[in-house]
Amino acid sequence: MTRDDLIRRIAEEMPGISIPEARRLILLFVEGMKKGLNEAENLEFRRFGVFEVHHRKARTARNPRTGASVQVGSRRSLVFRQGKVLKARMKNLTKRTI
Amino acid sequence: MKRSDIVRHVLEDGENQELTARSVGKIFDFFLEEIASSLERGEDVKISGFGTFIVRKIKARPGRNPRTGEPVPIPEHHTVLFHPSRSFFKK
Repeated sequence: MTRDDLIRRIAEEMPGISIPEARRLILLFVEGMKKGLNEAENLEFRRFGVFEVHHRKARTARNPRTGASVQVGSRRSLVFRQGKVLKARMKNLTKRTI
Repeated sequence: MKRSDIVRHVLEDGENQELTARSVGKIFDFFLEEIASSLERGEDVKISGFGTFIVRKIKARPGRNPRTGEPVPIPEHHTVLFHPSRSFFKK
């Protein structure tokens, strides 16, 4: 499923929402979520999951090919943790595929 | 940041004409629901400019109760991974 599929589904199922309007809304959803995460805030959606911003310290790494030391700066990473309900729903998939 | 912050962000958009907080909230819930149901079917969800949700099968493996040290088998299951889009932390 892609962003375009989601746009189409919203326009199909939500009364009074056209495709261009659904596209505008999805872009705003994504923009809003990114804005929060860029401000290093976690995003929490009940029943769905949490996006957590993790901070990685600067470290000295090695170029695996040459063995030379390289300084890697501090960076942020993003971790998604499924919510309870989503986790429970994924069990249905496990049941179906076993 | 939570659902209500996303709704507020949408309502503050200049082009917003007649949508109410309630209807934006409903559409956002539907958006998350569509993602969840696709994942539940085992289908990945790719949102350009945001990231990809990937369904991954985790093999059964022996685990342990960390408190008691007692061995507990972990059965095969599925989990959701998220890979943020490359554009993510650039401002």
